[in-house]
Amino acid sequence: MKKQAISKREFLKYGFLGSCFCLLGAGKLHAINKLSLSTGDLWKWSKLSRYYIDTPRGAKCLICPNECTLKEDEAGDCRSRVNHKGKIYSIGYGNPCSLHVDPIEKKPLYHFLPESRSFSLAVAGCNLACLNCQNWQISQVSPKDTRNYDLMPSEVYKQAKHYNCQSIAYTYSEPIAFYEYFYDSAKIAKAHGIKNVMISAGYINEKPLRDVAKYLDAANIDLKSFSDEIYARLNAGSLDPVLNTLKILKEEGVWLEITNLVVPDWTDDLDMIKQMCQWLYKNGFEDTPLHFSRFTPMHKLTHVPATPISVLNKARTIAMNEGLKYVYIGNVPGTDAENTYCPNCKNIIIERKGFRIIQNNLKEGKCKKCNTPIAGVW
Amino acid sequence: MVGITQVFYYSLFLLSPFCVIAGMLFTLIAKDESFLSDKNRVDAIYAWESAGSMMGGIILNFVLIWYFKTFESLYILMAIGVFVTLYLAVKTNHTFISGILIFVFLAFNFLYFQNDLDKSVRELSFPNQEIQFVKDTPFGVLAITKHAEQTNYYENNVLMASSGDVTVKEEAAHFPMVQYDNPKNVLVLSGIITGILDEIVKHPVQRIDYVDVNPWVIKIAKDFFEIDSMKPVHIIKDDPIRYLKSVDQKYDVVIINLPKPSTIQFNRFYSQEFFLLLKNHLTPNAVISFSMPSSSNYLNEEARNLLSILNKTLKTAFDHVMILPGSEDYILASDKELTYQITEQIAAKNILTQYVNDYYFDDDLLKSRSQLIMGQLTDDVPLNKSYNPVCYQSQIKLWLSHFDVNYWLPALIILLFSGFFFIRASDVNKGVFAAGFAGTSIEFVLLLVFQVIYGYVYVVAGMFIMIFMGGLAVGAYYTPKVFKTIDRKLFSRILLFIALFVFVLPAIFILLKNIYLPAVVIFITFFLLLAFISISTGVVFSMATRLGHNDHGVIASNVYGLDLLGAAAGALLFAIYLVPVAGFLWSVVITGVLNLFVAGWVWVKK
Repeated sequence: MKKQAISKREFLKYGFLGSCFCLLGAGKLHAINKLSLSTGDLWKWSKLSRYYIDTPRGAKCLICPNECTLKEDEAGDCRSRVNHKGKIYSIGYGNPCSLHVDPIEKKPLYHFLPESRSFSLAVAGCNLACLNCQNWQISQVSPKDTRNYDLMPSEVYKQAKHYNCQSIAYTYSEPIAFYEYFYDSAKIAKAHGIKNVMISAGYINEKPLRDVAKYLDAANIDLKSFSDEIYARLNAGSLDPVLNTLKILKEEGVWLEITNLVVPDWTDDLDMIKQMCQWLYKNGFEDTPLHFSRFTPMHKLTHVPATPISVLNKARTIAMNEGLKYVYIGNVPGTDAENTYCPNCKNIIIERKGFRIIQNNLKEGKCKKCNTPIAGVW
Repeated sequence: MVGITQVFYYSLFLLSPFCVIAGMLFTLIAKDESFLSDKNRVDAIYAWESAGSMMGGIILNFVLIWYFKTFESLYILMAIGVFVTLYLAVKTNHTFISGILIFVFLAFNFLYFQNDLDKSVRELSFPNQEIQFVKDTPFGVLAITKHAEQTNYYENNVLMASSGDVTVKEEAAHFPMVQYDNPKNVLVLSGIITGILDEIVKHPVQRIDYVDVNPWVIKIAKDFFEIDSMKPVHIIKDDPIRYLKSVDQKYDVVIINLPKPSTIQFNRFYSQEFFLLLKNHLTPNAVISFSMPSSSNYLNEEARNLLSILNKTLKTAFDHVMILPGSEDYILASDKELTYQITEQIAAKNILTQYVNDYYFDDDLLKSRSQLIMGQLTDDVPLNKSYNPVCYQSQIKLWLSHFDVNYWLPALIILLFSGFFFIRASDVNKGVFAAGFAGTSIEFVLLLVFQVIYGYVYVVAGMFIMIFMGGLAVGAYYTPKVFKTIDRKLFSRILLFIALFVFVLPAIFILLKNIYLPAVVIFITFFLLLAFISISTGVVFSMATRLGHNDHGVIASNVYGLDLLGAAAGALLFAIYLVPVAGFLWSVVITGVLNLFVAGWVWVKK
């Protein structure tokens, strides 16, 4: 009898190996990509971080609650901090990938210098990984992977002035990921009379937040949901640090507005929204503008339809019933919920349409009709 | 959005049970049949299997797709499988197996008739949405869902539009419409459900020709999306290219809402040939427009490459190209200079809009963002042509960039996996691999070239697969009858023959593209070419089974395995890598070289 080309034992062996190969193959798709991120090489745009400690496992970053412990040449979750010779460096210092001039209402900041323009900048990287990220092209990559401008902190405010902007917005990606650049730019800009606004998810530790807050004039914090589980699954974060950020910014006297993106099937539970509003009221945020923003299909959630407008209206009603005074709906052209109403006499204080103001009934920060102070930086 | 890793795992999970059993069954039946008839019957079984596949294709394409839902089709196939097995079990007195089968079948029947499985699966696809309408059409599965007051429209589970989305419909309509002084005739290719027609009629147009290949989409738009401005609209149920080739009508504005070039089939709507065809139907200074995914606040490399290709390709037909960033990146082209003063024009023309107006847009900021994008584009990219569909590759790379996956890694895995078995295979089985690779690749390329020349494929794709399977059956079945003596030299000659045929194909393609032929001649030509390559592949398979000296079961498993591996490698590498990188013509040549190399190898290694 002729020898068989393959025995049963060999068949099982090769079959098993083949299956493992197939399964590992798909895993490798990610694993090999990770290698390219782990680069500890410094470049011109590197800056030593002030927020890390040495541990037996490596350098531990203390900027955000992720608190990544980085071994030599490793990059953090944010992709913009690396361990180089035992020290943590930001590799996004002075190399923004995105520079634009935007209306301040686009941030959104409705109670802060209305109709002004903001010089907006971003460096690649983010400490969260939201499935619905609008700026995934820059938030989920390293500064080494983007085409960048060379714009050191001492030049940022000059650009803002050049474009006739009253403020600089650290936005689009996540300013916490490029903290050193954000901090130095804000400090210099403040000294030259330009205001600083932080548009952030607020996922930051207390010390760095308090340090930068003294140079901040306003912030819009994206309170993505009021559930730790959803924060973990949707954003790779957690709720408590963000709530803590809101409290600290308030304590530090930074003008604060909050955005809540209502994502169908993720963050559109009205009971959860009610709990969130109750927490805000209980913690003294009744004067803080809250923007319920309409989700549009984005990044990894392109199969999820946009938020129905009725859901946003219900959320707004809940928030107002819970005692919040200034509640808006965003990303819905033509809605009345863009206007600011006097919490006392209910008249229109500021009538908005998009990024324009149609009428302004504000006089020295108060309602023209009933003289009620309207919170904000006017 | 589903990533490539998920696609891989789900495909593996869903298809493995069937594929592994089907593969084992082939070997088992080939071995048993050869044993019982005391001669090599492996090729005959292959022929029967291919004939079965052909029949399956016919039933699927002409009956199941048209008249049954997915689970109804699966039920029918299962019932056929159960009854055939039951018949064989009873015939061979395997009462235990018969009993189990009857039990399983009855249990499944209970499950099937107690539940609407189609509905249940659909509900899983659309959580928290009320499904209002689902229709399996030959062009895809269309679904309408309701979430609160909002109506959503899905094609093949891909969200295409939602009611109340003024942003998309206003941008898509008014960005191009304001560019033309007084547009009278407008052509709209697909996208009725977005409500774009309601926006276009705000301009004093005389005629809107709306072209959509799927008649169900138009019905859905009327039934579910309150599309009421249909007065000047002429509905044309046709493929856009077929339509444009059949009329002389000229248009002032053309708005393209077709799917992005994520497949080679859709790539043709972004090719130089298509833009030139459109140009023949435009009045002087007419404007065309389409959109690509939004680059938002940063143009990543993948988006930059895609936009650069489109920009360069458009410039071969139009003097001016402009990209306006909105909810998507809108790409406009015309022979006249285009304006950034969108809101100024809207106001001047007295068009009432909710979103595209100076409340939401600042023309200067729009201009600066547009110029920023245009300034980053490069001319160092290839043109997107029918035979060189580079946009398709670029779109795949853009999709992969969502998942942090390198475009080339899947290719590496495929090469390592198939390379491992290819190297281990005998010389003859290397030939089977090469023929399998050529068979699938050429089938694929013929389908795509047919699409380029004829206009579109759709149902014809099913016919191509049927002919291919039929050709395999004929080749495998008749080889032992035609060739009385089969040796390695003859085998390598057949491989050489395939290589030569493949080398001649580019010349045929160029010829077909440059001469006008009636549709019937095009059909016959392609069916003959397809029959040729499939019969040749069947011949190679049959000869390989007769050149083996092992047990029939081993021969069957080796030859069948290498044939399928070659076909799989061909399907993946050819479609995803070779064609986008090298274009149709060079991809075909590379396939020919593989066959030539293996033919020489078999000839030399005796």
